[in-house]
Amino acid sequence: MYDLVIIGAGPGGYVAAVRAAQLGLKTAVVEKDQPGGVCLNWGCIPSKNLIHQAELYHDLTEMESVGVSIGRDSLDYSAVQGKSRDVVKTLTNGVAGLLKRNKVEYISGTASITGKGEVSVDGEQKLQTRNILVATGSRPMSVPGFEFDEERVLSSTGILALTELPESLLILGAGAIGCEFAYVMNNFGVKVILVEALDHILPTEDFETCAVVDQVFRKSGIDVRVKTRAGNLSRDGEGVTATLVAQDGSEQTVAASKALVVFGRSPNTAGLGLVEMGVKLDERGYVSVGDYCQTSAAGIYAIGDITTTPALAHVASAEGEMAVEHMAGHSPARKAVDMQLVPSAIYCEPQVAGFGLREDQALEQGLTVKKSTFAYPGAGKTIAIGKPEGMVKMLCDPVTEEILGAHIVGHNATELLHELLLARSAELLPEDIADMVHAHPTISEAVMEAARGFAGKTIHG
Amino acid sequence: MAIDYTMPKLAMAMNEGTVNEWLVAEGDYVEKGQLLATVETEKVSYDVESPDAGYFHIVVPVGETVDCEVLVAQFAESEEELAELQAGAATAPVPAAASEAGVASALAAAPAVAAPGARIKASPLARKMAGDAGLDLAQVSGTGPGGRIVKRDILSAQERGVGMAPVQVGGNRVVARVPMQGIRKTIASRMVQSLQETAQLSSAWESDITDLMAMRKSFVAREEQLGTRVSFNAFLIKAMVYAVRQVPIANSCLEGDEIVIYDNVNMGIAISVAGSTPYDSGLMVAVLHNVERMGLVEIDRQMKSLIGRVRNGEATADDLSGSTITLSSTAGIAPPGLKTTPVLNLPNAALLGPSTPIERPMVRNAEVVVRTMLPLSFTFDHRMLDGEPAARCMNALHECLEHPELMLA
Repeated sequence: MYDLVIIGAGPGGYVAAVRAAQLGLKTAVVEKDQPGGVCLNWGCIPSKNLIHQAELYHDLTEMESVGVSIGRDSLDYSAVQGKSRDVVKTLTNGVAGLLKRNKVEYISGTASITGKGEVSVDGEQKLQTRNILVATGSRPMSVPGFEFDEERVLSSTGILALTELPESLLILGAGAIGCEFAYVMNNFGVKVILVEALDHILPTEDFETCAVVDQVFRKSGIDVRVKTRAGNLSRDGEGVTATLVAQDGSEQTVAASKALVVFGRSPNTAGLGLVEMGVKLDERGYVSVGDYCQTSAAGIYAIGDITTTPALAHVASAEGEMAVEHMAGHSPARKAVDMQLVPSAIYCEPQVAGFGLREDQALEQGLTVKKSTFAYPGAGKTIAIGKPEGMVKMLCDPVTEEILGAHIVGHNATELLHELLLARSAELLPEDIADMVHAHPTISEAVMEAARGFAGKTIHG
Repeated sequence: MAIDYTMPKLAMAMNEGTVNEWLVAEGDYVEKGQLLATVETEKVSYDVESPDAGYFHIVVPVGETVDCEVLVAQFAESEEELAELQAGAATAPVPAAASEAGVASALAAAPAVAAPGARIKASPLARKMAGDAGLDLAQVSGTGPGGRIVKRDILSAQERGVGMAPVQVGGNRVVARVPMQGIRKTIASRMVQSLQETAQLSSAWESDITDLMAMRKSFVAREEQLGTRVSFNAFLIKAMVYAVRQVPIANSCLEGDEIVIYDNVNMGIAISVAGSTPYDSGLMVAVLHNVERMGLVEIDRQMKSLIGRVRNGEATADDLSGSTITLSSTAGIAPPGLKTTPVLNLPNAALLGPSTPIERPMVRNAEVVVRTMLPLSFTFDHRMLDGEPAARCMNALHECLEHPELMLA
């Protein structure tokens, strides 16, 4: 008899498993693929490695300006791919080790819930458990007319497995994945068309920060098309052809060697026996959860991408920890992860990171906010390292000065954001950041200056 | 050995007193005879002198009322003794009392009055919110990390009404004390004098300024050419010049036993200026000399520069004396349609008090139309001006305002 059986060993499942074991729960994790889930195997981690290599490749240009020339022709993309798989291997092994060290039983196989407190693995082995945590994650969303063949029409998984660079790439959807691959492929010399139906690329991020990315993308040669939909996508000759429909109705046919279709993700909730056990799903197949990620069936919890919270690894991890703490009889500080305190991070260059209120939301909701922005070039470090494109933006309550949201675009934005996020979550005020001595020269000085902006006293603004 | 200082019995009938202000700070070294505090009784407030010398330790905070002979402060012989008194204060009634002194000062004074370990853990945001709301953090329990008081605790305390400074029943809470001195004293005596020594009365009416507003609009449209955005007051002054030309006695002063009627029109313009505290105001009458010789643009320019001088404290003696008639406008400040009874500016015989215009249905050519009406009050001294000339003067004003082309006369 287990205290907890977790289905799925992604960033939600394995973190929950470790935490559960720490809290003294007898825990097993069932995984049908590799430990680490999409994040480690076919998502965040390999893509970060590709971005890193793409950056190195791009930086060769800078080396050339000081007389070091390295031939580009010898680029072996299969080696690039190989390196990213090595990283994945290191980390998945790490996760397996972590589970072992914490005495979590790792079971390979496909799990389904077959009864109250019963999980079957591959329809054979039956595990009896007090609690079940479903953390099965999501997969690339397949849209009729844009089905993946992973040869010419790629999903995020397909593009991560490429061993050869295409000549050109049509990216449909300029969310985080679309933008990251636009950046990677463009750096490696692939001709990229980036198409987004909404008003700006990265539509769930702050428009002002995205404008900076848009500008840099266009300058670096990416063909960015916003307010544009793909009417259809077909395999023609050697590549793909798509009809792009602009908001004004005008149509244009574009061709590319391959297409990357990143319209979103679909929850993996089928075939798990959820509905049979009385777990309520919404019309799109997401699990409806209440406090502490409990589903409508007693003893079954659900976390991560299969719920309606943002499909981010760190959300899944946080939900996993909260859910197992609740199972273990602790009372977590919150009944749900506070989405205002969840950072988003996009790793193209310039990076985009943010949390909390966005300016467009404030306008929409009719909220009065105080805003302060500070452009990267005001922090000397950005000039010194040749990364002047960027800004730090903060939104505060006009009365209490509470930090309501912050958005950073630029080099290292995803790391820099955490100073502001800590300030927000610890309820520090802009003056607390402004009064803190920041090392010189750092990009963090831009964060300090943005905070000073609320008192109208930036030094380098 | 520390010396106790108790609420002094300052009068036979005094049973209790309120410390309105400590005139020395916690921990200061106080000399004998130095002013120590302002103590208020039911009737009077006293500045009390220190009967002793020593390092001063406050026991009763500002605003607290205690019976006579109750301990309110102590004098320590040495800094060490002071520290002991301050440390011991944690068990004395200080924390509760500190709440009434307002959270901001309680926080500032916290290291001095709170015992070691009694530090209140609260996020900066929570402190700010508590400070703004006048909430005593000592009475709020924290639910944040490590028991820290966070925003949600403040919101919940506010909702439940916990930690709010209790509203004192019986006995008012003072926001500010404005000394009756300087400009305030001058205004007070002039007003009383005006009302006591004259036979002043006010009449009120409304004039249709729709056409005048249209005329002003064409001036405003030519702001660049004219070099100034001609204000409505410039037109009023022009109309007043027209009126006193019809009824000269309205432009006069009582000097000794003579009514002196003037040819030149020196316009007294009542100006509101800052007071000595954020709560009171000041009033000055700036004087624009010889307006009868000026066109609208010049009136406007000179009036603005005059007002600028007065507000910046750069007024000359001429700028503040010699008025023959007064304009005191509450336009834009008062509710639309208000009619006032302004007090006469001595020694002038008359004062015009226009207020905020109001739109009204009026009958014009047997039709009801919306017109912009300016409420006007005219205060005059019946010792100098009888009803008949006063009425004629008002009528002349009325005609000029309704037919602004008369300003050319």
